[in-house]
Amino acid sequence: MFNLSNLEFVSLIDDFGAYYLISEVSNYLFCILIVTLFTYFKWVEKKYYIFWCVYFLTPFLLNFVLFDPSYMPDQWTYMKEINLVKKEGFDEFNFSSILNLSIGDIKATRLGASSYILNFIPVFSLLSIGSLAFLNKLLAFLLFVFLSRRIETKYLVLFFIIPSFIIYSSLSLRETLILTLSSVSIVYLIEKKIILSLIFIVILTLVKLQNAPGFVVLWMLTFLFSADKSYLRLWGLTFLGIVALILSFDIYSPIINLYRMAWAVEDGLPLMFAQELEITSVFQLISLTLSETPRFLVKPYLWEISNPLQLFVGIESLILLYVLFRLIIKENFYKTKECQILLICMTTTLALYAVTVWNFGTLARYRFIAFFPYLLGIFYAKQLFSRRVNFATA
Amino acid sequence: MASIIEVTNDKLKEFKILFLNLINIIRLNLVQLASATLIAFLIGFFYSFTLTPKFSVVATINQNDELNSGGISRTNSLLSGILYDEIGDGDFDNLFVTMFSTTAAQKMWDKGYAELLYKNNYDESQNKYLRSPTRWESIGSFVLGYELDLEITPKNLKSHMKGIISHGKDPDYPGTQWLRIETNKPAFYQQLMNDLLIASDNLIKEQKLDYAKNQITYLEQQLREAGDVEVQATIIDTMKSKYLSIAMLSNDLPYSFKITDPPEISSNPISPNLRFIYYFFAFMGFSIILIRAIAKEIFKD
Repeated sequence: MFNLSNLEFVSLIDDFGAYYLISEVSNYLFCILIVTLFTYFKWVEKKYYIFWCVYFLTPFLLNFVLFDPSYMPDQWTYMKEINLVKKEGFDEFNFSSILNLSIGDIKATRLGASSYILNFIPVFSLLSIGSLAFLNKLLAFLLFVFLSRRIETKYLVLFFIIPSFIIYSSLSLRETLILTLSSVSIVYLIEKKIILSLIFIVILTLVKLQNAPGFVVLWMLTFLFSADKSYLRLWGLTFLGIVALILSFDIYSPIINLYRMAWAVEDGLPLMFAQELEITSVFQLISLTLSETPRFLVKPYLWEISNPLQLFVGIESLILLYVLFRLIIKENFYKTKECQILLICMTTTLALYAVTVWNFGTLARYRFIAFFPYLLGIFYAKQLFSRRVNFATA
Repeated sequence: MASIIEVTNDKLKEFKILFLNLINIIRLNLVQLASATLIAFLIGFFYSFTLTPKFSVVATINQNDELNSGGISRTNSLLSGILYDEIGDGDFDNLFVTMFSTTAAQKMWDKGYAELLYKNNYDESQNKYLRSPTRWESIGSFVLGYELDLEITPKNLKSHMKGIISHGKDPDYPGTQWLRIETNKPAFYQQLMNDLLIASDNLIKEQKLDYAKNQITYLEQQLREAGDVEVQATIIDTMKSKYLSIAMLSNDLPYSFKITDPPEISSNPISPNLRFIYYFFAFMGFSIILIRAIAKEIFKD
């Protein structure tokens, strides 16, 4: 509603003070008003009303309290971009640039697309550095409403109290948008809704290119090849896919190398050394994928932990892996084709991140946005599977 | 099929009832809503009287084309495409590091900014600028038993300048940076920003100059030791380029940047933004009462 241009603000409110509090308290009240209306219209169970009132408070606890906003400098980029979209409207997002596929255009597209989509979520104020956090919270709330029609609320709440989810949805970043798009895509894929899943995958591709390949593979396996019909088809197609990846290495390797080097440089590695990280052959890619993917899942190792945050992130990732393990083991769910398809696509996404991501901070962030939607999807698929089993035995 | 239509109809009916009830709740609480909005607006109105008008002082600088410095953006355009947002400031990094250094603060201190900024803190008996301790500093000093150092030094001036000056890049014009100060003493800070830009640039020039001179001294030594004529010729060529650098650095022209727009004061106060205060206070009053009224209805049973 209120942004930098319509209130003629020269710059974002990015220091702690009365202006910051006025802006953020207004945002909080706006969000609570929406939660109240959703509860009133019975779209959300009223026993979760207090939970959401408390949940929406978390943006107050991160920026300026747990750390300075400059600890996550991307927040300025996203806040400025969304204000630009509010100011310039549709012109800001150049659709023709999507087709060019140059690196500059990919960057501009991912930012423009994210801001353009976020532009549709109402929030009272976009004036301060933490405003996007309330928009993210609202997005998380809408995801909750969407999922509560499919997953039992008492279990669903557990996904929303995963510390990483709370943290990323309490900052002015676009992780919540990526998580929401990925989660909705995977739910529609499980429900075999061909058009809806495709729409969300296309939007996800525009917002986060690296998250898309796993979902594209999932969509193709589900709808184009009906891989859930037989194990032979599923694993035959997977084998053919791997062969195709090996043969087409020269086509996609420049993009993978570019992201790999870019992250290394971002982490402070001199460009000269970053260039040495270039993957030059398909065998190198295979060995790197096999060695880096498990590391990507469990990093940091115990002996690498140097601060409480890393310890916390490490423990959280181990717990989430354990939850995944329990889910697929219980009732032999891993033997089903649905579970195997989801695991193959999850591995694809994680492997892509594992070979490109360099620094720890990025690794922790991207591991979560890659892992969470699949964990949620597997939980949902497992719930449907259990219902089918119970129905059959009854 | 019939059951789906029935369920949809039931849901629509329920929604209609709830919606009409919501209108009724708003109607019943209209007086409270209006008074809360008005009271909150008045709080904002009186609060706005307590605020001091602030002006902005803005300057724009851009990269000096004459300066042949490397950097990620020049080394690899593809990488810069991805990294621009994250790394961003490129060639200006050195300028801002220098600008907010103790050495630059010392220069500004010597230029008389200590007197201008801290004259009320001057203690004639000690011939020092002294500040009062904060409550926590006093408690810390008492509990831990150490003596507080309350002297204001160039380090304090450095923190002050770092705190008050914000800077960033213009996304539309890569290679351009803006510097901004929001203040109720615009004329003073206009001069400060101008002086600081010049002082920082001079510091960078001095550092480069010292480095070039040291290189010449070293090359002279190498020249004396070199026996081979070709090596001597190469060293002489290098020395010539260093002398050229010294000549270029010894003039009064800006070295590390060009000033596109010198520090300018905004024609009107930019803060407080009265619309922001009035709208937001009014909204807070309105929403608190509305949330309370609907929540009461939700939990009435």
